[in-house]
Amino acid sequence: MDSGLVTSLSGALAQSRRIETIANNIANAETVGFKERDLVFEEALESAHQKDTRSDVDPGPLSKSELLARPMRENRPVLYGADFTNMKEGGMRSTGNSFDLAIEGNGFFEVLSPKGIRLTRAGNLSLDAQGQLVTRDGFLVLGPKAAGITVSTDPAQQNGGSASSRAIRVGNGNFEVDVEGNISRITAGARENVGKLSVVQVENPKALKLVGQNMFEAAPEAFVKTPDAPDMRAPASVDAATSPLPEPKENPLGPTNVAPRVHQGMLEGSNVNPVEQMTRMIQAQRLYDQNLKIMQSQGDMTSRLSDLGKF
Amino acid sequence: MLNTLNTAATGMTAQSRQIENIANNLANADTTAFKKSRTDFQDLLYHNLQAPGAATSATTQNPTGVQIGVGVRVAGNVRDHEDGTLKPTQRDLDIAIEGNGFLSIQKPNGEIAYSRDGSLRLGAEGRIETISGYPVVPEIQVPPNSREIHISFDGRVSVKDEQGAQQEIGQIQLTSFANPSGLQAEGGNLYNVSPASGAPVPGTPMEGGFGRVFQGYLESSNVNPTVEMTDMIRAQRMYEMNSKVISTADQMMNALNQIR
Repeated sequence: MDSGLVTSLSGALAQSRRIETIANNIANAETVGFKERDLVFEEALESAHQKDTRSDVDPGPLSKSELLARPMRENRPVLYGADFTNMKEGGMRSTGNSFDLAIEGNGFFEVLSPKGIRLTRAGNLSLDAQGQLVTRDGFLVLGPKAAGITVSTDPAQQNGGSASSRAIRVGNGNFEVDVEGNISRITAGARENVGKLSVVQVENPKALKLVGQNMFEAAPEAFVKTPDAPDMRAPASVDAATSPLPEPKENPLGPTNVAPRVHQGMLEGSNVNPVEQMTRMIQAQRLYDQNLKIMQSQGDMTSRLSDLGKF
Repeated sequence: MLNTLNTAATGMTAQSRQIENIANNLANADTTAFKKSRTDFQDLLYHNLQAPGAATSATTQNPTGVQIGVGVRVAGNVRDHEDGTLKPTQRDLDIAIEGNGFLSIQKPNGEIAYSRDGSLRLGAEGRIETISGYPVVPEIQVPPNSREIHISFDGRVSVKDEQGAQQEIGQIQLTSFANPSGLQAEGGNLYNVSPASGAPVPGTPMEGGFGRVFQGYLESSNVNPTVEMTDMIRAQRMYEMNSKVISTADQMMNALNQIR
């Protein structure tokens, strides 16, 4: 009986986590470049029952047919398996402000945060006191790496070293950004190229970690593709057969072989669909209630069982 | 569930900040040279229940992890320094700056503030002043008995004396900033220098990227009431949705309390 209680409890907990995720999506429905998240649940197959029958050698993940061949277990608590970010593009909104940039297609701006280089799609930029392009938090927006310079992946190195030299100085006056991210400054009718925005592509968006402030941190398995290092998965370096992550069949960000386009005067809104979120919320609430109901009936059954002894 | 309550509360706070900002934009829709501002939001830090890439066995790792967000915050109110439209007034001492640049104004405490409000007046001693009576810097003195003040595109101020002879009496200087959005608004259409704005760069109209001075015009605010109204409706609905999340969390907690 106890294991049944645990199962329902895990269900209720999972649904309340889900509500937390939905609350965050709704709270961020107006956040520039925000991507909605959803929790995916999985059954806790690897429960204690199985562990004692196993040898010390980990056989690795089981195939679906192997799993189905196993005898049914009565105890299957729910685990939050993974949550994933829905990387679908958010709606574009015209703002008419030349400091607002939106990326169409698979692409991220590179931003120098105090903890190292981060990626963002929030293009609501501004200038700092030195006339350099910065994000809302004052983090430098970076241009492409100069040819031949290798930037260390160590955050400390990135900060002190060459990364800050990739800042884009726009200075005073009007400027224009073309679809490729080239920035030109217009002074008294004359056009002068002042730099280029680094727009990198991500082949495996699932490996992006959210760090808040509209930024993502890219794990190495995200396969960040920069214009100067066009293919992180070059056949020579990664053997297709043993590659830990197969090429995602469908990249929700869009294909990486299509160059992203930068649009000035536009902002990408969040991709949160409030209707969907509200529906999911109702669903999660009902499932939560049902799990509680089951817990309650289990409790009733246990108490009746103990009543039996009184006869 | 308590997290849910907090998350939804951050959403409600953020949306009410946005409504406050919209209210100020709309209230100033007719203020000379008023610059609208926009509320920008950011997601808060994530609660990492399971970091992406955490090991799920000796040979496998979780490709996405579990990260629960805890809400939203207002990242900033950014002022949009786009020019407002120029509105003809026919007054000699109304000037509008088309393009980059601010007028320098001396406040009563001696400090310099910056403004794009060009509705100027003549003070008691013939000095050119703002509507609040603060002198424009550098000071321009209009001689008594002069007629027809003329201000050229490049900011030169000239008058006709009693004999009808043209006489130049001063030059309007403009000041620009690397980041005008970083200026600190003081109210009264004045802005102060801040560390984020960069140092003031003085200059002459029509030179080195500075704008032109238009006599007989005033710059209207750059508020677009249609945009503000639609933003307001959106903000209100988002506020309501966040409050729905709170009541859902409340109902769930209620259900939990009923269980025993």
